[in-house]
Amino acid sequence: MAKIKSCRFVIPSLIFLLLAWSPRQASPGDEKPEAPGERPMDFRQIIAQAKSKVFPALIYVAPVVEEFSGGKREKREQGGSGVIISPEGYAVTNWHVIEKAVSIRVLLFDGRFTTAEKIGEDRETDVGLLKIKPPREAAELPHARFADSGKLREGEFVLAMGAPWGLSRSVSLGIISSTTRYLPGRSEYSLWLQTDASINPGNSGGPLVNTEGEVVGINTLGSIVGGDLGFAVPANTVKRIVDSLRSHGTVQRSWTGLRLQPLHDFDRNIYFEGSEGVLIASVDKGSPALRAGFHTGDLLLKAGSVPVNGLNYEDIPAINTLLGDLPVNQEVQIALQRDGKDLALTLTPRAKGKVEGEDFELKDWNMTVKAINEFETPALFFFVKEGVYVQGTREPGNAAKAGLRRGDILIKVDGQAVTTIEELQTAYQNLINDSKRDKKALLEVLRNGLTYRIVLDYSTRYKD
Amino acid sequence: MFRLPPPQLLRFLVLTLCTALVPLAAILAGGDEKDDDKLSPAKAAEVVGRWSKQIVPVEIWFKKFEGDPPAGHQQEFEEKRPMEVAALAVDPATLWLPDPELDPRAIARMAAGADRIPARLHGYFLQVPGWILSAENPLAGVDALKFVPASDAGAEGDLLGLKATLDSGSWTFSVSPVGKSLQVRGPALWSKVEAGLLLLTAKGDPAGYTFASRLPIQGQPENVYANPLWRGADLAAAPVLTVQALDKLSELFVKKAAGLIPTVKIIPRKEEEADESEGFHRAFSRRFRGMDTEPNDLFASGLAVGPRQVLVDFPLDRELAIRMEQVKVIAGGEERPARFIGAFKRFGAFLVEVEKDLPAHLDLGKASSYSLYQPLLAVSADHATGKRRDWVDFNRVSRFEKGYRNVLEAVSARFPRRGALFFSMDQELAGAAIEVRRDDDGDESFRPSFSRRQFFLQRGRSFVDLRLFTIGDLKELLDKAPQNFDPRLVPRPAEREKDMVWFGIEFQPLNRELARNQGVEIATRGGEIGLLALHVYPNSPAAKAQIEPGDILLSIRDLEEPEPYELHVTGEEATFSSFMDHIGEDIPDEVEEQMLAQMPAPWRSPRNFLNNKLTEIGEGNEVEVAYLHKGEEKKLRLKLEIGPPDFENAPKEKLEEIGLTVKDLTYEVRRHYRLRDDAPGVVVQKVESGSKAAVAKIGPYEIITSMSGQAVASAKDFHQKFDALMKAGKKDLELKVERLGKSRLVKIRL
Repeated sequence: MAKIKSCRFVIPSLIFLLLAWSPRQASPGDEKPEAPGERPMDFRQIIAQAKSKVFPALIYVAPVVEEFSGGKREKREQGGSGVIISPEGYAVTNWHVIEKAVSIRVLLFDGRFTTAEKIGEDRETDVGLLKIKPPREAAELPHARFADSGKLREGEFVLAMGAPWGLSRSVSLGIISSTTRYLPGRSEYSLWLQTDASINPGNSGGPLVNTEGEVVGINTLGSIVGGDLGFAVPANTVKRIVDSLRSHGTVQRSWTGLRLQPLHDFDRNIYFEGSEGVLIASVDKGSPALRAGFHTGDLLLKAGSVPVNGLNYEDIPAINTLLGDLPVNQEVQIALQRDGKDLALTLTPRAKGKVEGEDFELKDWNMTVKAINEFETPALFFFVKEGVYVQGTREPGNAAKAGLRRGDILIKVDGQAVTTIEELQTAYQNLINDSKRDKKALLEVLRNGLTYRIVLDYSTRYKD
Repeated sequence: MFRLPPPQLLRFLVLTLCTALVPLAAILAGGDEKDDDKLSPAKAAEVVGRWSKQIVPVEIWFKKFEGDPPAGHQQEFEEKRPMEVAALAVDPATLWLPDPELDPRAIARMAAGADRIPARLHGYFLQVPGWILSAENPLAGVDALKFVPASDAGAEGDLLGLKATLDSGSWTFSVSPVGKSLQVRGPALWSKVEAGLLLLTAKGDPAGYTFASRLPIQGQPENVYANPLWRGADLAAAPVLTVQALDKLSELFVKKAAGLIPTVKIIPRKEEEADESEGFHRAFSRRFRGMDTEPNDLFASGLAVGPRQVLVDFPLDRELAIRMEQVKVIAGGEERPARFIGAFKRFGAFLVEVEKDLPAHLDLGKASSYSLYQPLLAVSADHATGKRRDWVDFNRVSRFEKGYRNVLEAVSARFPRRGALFFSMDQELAGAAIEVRRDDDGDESFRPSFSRRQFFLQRGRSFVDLRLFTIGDLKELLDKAPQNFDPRLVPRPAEREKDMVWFGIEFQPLNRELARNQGVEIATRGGEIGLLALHVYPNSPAAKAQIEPGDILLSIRDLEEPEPYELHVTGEEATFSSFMDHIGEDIPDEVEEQMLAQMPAPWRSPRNFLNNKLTEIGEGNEVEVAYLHKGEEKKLRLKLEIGPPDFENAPKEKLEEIGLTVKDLTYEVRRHYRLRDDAPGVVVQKVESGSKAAVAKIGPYEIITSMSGQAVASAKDFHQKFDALMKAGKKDLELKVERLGKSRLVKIRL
């Protein structure tokens, strides 16, 4: 049963699966590497050679992940592909394969199994980094090399490789359909490679390889409606992310509060004059940009000494990356234009911080909650800046029976205001541990802008 | 009507009684034998044996008339069996029948006697409630009855009555003495009898027949109708209105009366297209109420009650009244515009006035009254099919009853047509039939009643309470008119059409758990009633009455009514979770345009159950609200006022060139989006599919805060600024669009 993670964003005319494969699909995996040193002329030989370069580095990643969205805290097995990128055993996969993993098992190409440790992950680009524990001490692991994905051109042949299950390794052939795909909602910091090589649950997290046997991307998204459509994170993006993850364990981005829009928007038929700079669409409340005095409509020309050009949507991720790379808490001069007049503002970006709220399970109430995060749940953040919301309610369960629903923001529990997971935890524990009281709690929940009162009866015990 | 007679009269009566009774007493006391002669089984058998053949069973088969089975006889119609009655055969081809209170047009056929000879209605007795039927072929075994002369018809105490009744499917004859019990009222003295009795003298000769339920013995009230004829000789000579004569009269009456019953055309303002963005709920409930298929113009019949005044026989409900844009009276071949004067609170009629004198009108000068059994000719105009049809019906007052609100009413034998004008047989105006409204009309506060209009559009027969007004009643109604008008049933101009009375709170319904938790189980009957206030709008009636969030409203009472209306949410919003649940804001960025257009608004509409109920009670009226504050029961009084505009009736502007409709930011929208009262902007109500605004992906419920750099204050301001730009020849329109705190720039090429 393929575990399909629901997308938060729906792309026009396409629906994508975030692919992570849970058992079980056997496929033959019997490969012989080509003899080295020969210069192959035959296309089939080219493919075979590229494949044989990378296959040994393919790994099957089997994490056990923790899940809160169903209203209870659950562990689940998952499966995906990955590729070893260094002899010490660093391996790259997708963030969504190892998100919330509590333990990771890995099966190498030669049949040896081992475990891996999560070094870091980046939700925004969907990249994750593992460190494999080599089965034999100090032994070197076969690894693949990155290519410069900036040199890719449409029409070039690529191979999407993966480990669909266990020992089997798969490869599918296609070309690069696009090197600069912008996917709304999923391209804040990076564009995508689009290919017609089959990207499917079996090879998600695995490498997209060119005819030289170098990794040009990491397979990430497949399409459920149009067969020959797949997307990979470009290698250049992966490299940057991996470097950051190796050094810091996270990608440290800075945040300005600026949201950008390009000068030319063909889709909406919105065209602004000029060919330099990028438009500021929105300035978040309470953000560094607001404090610096930015307005919607300003034309951002230069960040520090770097000129900025956001002519089309495809240019925006690079600008976001540029802004995200600005040093945290350091002033930077921004040159801009407002109503035709030149202007300079001083901006002090802050750390972007968490892009996802913390999870928590309220077992007796049969529900799970999550902290509101301005990036993950902007609609909820609009109503409550610091708060906790219902992530899921178990069916059947006490919370569901009381009428609580996913998205409800908990304002008060038994008369006590709760703004953080800790506060909720405290209030919850006090109630549960109090054996003298009725097993009922009055909750105030914010739904669709209005705060309602619900009595949660948790006297029923539901079996696991 | 019940008065004890004054002492002198009482003495007179007693004396008369005694005088009358003495011979009776003598007879009774005179010997058992004579008694036995009258009452013995042998005698009874003899009477039956001799006369029962004159009592003929008649089957009356029904048919649908104008699409409806006959009122009161639906069951017989559906079970395909006839109504069975017993008639008196006065000769082999003539039958007398007490008025069966049927509309003759609903009778398919009649069959008399064991041989089922076809019979038809020949005519109506005018002085007694009776019909005359004629058989097509002579009935077998029936003789011509010879009634004894009137003078010989004997002291009423001597009579025997022979009757046939249907008992367990067969006819049973009964013989009993008549006149043994006496009733007195005023000077009148009579004996209560059943209708349809063949009266025989003590000797066993036919004396008469009862059509009515009283056998007059003494007393000469002026009105012949209260002193019904019963002697056979009298009846044989009594005036009869034959069916043919009625047809001729009908023509005459229609000519005479049609001018008094002008057709009235009611032209409501056309309902605005239901915008999908108004929400599934409203659009769906419109279709459910059949409002999509309503005809544009409605026709009703009116009564010309004055030289320029017409009483329109049409029950208005609030919705229609508000939208009633024009009323025209069609008289003298012209359509005359009429001015609305008022709609009656208690009756389903309203008054209008025309500018020029009408060609004819009723003379309400002479008082009138109805008498028991009085025959009436009813003239009415029917518009159910769209075309006017004039009807003349023969009807009769069949009894008096205390009706709604304890009013003594005359009840007619046949259900009258609405708006019918009644004439007595000598062509004097007797009265009219007008609908009575009950006070709990339109109590479906959640869905305004549509049923009234439906009933009118149908036949106006069943389920409608029509009262027979006398001329005096009509005059009184009109004289006291302004006091009797319903202030809620008044037409309104278009911009005030959707005014709503408000209280000013957001609330949730109580439930058992909450009631228990708040300790208010008793006052709220375990959470069955009660609205918990969640938010109080500043400067609202609730705020002024110092209602706070947490207060629980229990009931509201219109001060003119004795009973309070308990507050509980009904209908589809009653389920707690469905009340809270309406689609919110978390719309993914990329949603199909069609889906966006159909999404209901994310904020809670103030057109809720509570405000709807208050609107029904009507602005300007006072109500008493019972509520709980911290568990303590309190009452407050307030005068209902129209609330500020909300999204539904907010001023709106449409920019045709780009297919964008915007509305002012109203208070509930501001609350939802946490906008200050003075924050600029307009909210998008609708984006035409495929328009420039749609291409620019402006969506409903987004907020537009500025146009080409200038803050937008209102929908009007928005349109004006747009017009100014167009005039100045600008090629582009720049808008700043916001959704949930995030903004973006939109540029549209003009």
